[in-house]
Amino acid sequence: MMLAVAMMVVYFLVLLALGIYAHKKTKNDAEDYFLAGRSFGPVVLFFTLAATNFSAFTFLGFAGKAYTDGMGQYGIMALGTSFMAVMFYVIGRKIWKAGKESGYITPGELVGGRYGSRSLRLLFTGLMVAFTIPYLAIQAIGAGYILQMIFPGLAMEVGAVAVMVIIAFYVLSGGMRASGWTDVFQGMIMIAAMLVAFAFIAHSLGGLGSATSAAYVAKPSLFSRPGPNGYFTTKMWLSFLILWVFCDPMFPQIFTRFYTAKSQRSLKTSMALYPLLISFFFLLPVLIGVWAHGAGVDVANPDNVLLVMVENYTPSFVFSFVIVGALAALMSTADSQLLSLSTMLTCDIVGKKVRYSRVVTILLTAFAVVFIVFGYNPRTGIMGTLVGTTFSGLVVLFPSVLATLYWKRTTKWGCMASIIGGEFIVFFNAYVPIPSFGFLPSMVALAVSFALVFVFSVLTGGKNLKVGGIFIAITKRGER
Amino acid sequence: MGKRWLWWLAFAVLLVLSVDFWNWNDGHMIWFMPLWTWYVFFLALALSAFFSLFAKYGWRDE
Repeated sequence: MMLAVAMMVVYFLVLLALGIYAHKKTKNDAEDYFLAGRSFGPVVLFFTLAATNFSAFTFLGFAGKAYTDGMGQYGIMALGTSFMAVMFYVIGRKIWKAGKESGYITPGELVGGRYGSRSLRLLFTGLMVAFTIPYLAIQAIGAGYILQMIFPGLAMEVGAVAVMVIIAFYVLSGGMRASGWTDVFQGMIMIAAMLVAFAFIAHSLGGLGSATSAAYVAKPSLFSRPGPNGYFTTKMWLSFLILWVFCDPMFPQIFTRFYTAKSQRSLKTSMALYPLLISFFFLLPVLIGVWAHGAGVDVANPDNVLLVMVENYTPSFVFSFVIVGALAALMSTADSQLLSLSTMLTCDIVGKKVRYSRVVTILLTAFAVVFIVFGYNPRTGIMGTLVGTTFSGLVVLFPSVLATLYWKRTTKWGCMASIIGGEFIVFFNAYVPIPSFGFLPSMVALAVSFALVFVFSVLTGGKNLKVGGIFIAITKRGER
Repeated sequence: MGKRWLWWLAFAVLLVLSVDFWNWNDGHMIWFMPLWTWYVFFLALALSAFFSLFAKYGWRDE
């Protein structure tokens, strides 16, 4: 217990220290606060892209899903996320270049900026914000529950609020620089904790072969696809591959990071290392989840299976370290969400003022705290719909971004039709399921979104002017 | 620029290989993982190697 508390205290102190140090290094201008002065080198950019993308779901949820549906969880996540790294080249370098040349800070600024359209900019920003806010509240609640593992007497609300306050402190202090630097630290903790947990569990179960053999005897269907519940069909496999490739870069906290690269070398290194890290890191929680069957572990909530395995098969200091690792996974995502939300709400609505952003960050933190304290369930009501449709809701933004970066004839009407049409399908499907022929319904929404940006751009297209690698469209009405 | 299509062709091949329908319903084990999981593992490593080569030789700074 004392060791666990000590680890947690040291972890929080390092975060706060990094926040204070980042504050000293950060000037009070917009580019420096929101984007760390576009200065992230290969190491920081790689870690921040990884730690931001790998959340508590990667750490705890993968094991839970593998526990219920088998090894297919590894393939469906590892391949999709690995292939996603191609987007660092396809859109990342163009976003980086446009940002450097035009001073863009937010995703909406780039998409709306090409057409000089404030309405498109606000639509794009509004959707990104709407799909990210509920997740921020969920991360905070998740942090509260994780802290309860070490401090059983601590109310979930107290732990959640404490974590939100710590996150807000270092985000307010050092902006993107603090978020990036803490991501490096949290990423290392996350990877080390998972490796240590895996090694101890494998050793306790008699080695890799024995652990797997026991699980195979208990439930052989875990080791082949489509898995015990028939979830991993080839169509689902392909759907998730496409979904992750197109959806992940549309998370505002990922999109914004493309602007922060010091040079294209940072993006290149991240692209090459991403699949390398994923190839083994994603495998570890999945194997632990599957091994639980061989070990006779029975859990009511599959998401707890990794922690139960760690608690049963490793010394107590490893359990404490894994709890810190899970918290690091969660907090590295939450701080990036908080910063990207405040950046968008500030720069796209009230202007590029750091002091406004600090107010917005405090308001967002207060919003999350209210969520937690009043026990609002973010999985119900309109928030529940947003959470349930986040990946679909974000993936339909991709065709507009791609067309904006590559296709001269794209118009703001094409982008608007694509976004609104895609989101309509996503929300319609949430209430009345649409036929998707065995694929994820988001594939239908994505296809419609691609079709609409093409059709409406052709119908409303005009002359286009190429400026510095990104195009400025001049519509038939002469509107820029 | 002229050989850029070769990079895209190689990427497309890797993409097609990622939907390994021929391994479905196969639970053949090698050491501590099914054969198809090893396949996915090495495919991710191959992708990393491909991206490394592309970053070095195919990605020209603009």
